[in-house]
Amino acid sequence: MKKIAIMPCNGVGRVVSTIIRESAYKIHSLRPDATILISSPDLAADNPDALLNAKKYPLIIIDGCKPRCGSNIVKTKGIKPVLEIYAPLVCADKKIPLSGETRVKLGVKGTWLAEAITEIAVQAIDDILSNKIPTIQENLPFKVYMDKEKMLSSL
Amino acid sequence: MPEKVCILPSSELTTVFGKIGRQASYIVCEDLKPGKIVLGCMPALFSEVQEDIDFITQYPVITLEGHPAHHAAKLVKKFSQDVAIEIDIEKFLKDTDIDASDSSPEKLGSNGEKAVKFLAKYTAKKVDALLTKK
Repeated sequence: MKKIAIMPCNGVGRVVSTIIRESAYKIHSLRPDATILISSPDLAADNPDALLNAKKYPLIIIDGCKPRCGSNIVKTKGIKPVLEIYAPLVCADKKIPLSGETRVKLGVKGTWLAEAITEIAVQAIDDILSNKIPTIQENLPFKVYMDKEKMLSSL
Repeated sequence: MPEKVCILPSSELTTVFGKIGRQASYIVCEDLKPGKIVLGCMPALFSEVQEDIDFITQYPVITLEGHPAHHAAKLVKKFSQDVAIEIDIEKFLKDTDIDASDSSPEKLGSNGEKAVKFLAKYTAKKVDALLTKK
């Protein structure tokens, strides 16, 4: 069966990392047989399983802040993701204020953003698995990075 | 004596120990030793974010390892820095007889929550020791 690998931001300092982690777990729970989660510290440390999965399956990165660590880690490993979702742009587009949210446990607004990211990712996963190029870039006003050539070749 | 201590949880996404280490680091940083901790971020350190490099070069480092390969400590050593204390969370829980099998990387059960608190207190004691070390 085809699978999509998901590597979310796995930082600790910012609330957006907690939001993206929750989103990644939700994505996996919604598409358990079609997705595999990759832990960015594992990939950074050249864990063989993480490396294998990141290379073997089409990879979606969810970045949380400006350094875009997830994208940077895969780039240094010579891996090109099929899609990169940048959470702050989703946040801005949906006009979700994150004040009052904490990185320890998400409240309503953090959960709302996690759901918005999940929705985008799940739509992209379904599109990729049906051999379609995800349409989200056209449908939504925020920027979603995508390498169409790579995506098509990986199907 | 150092002014602060850097805690660097390895924060694995797919192991319960990564979750326990991350949550414990928040408790130490925000509740037990406020103002005395800088929280290092492994992906940011790997990406050479200057703030995170400064954390490990300016302050003694405690790593909270959620994987037996000790990814966090290895990364610090790549920057030619020493790790003051490496805490292997799985081993720590075995030594303290806490069974966190009621928990998952997504959600902590009551034993997982207990493990977080235990680890946080233990780490805070190590922070105190480093802060008073000449």
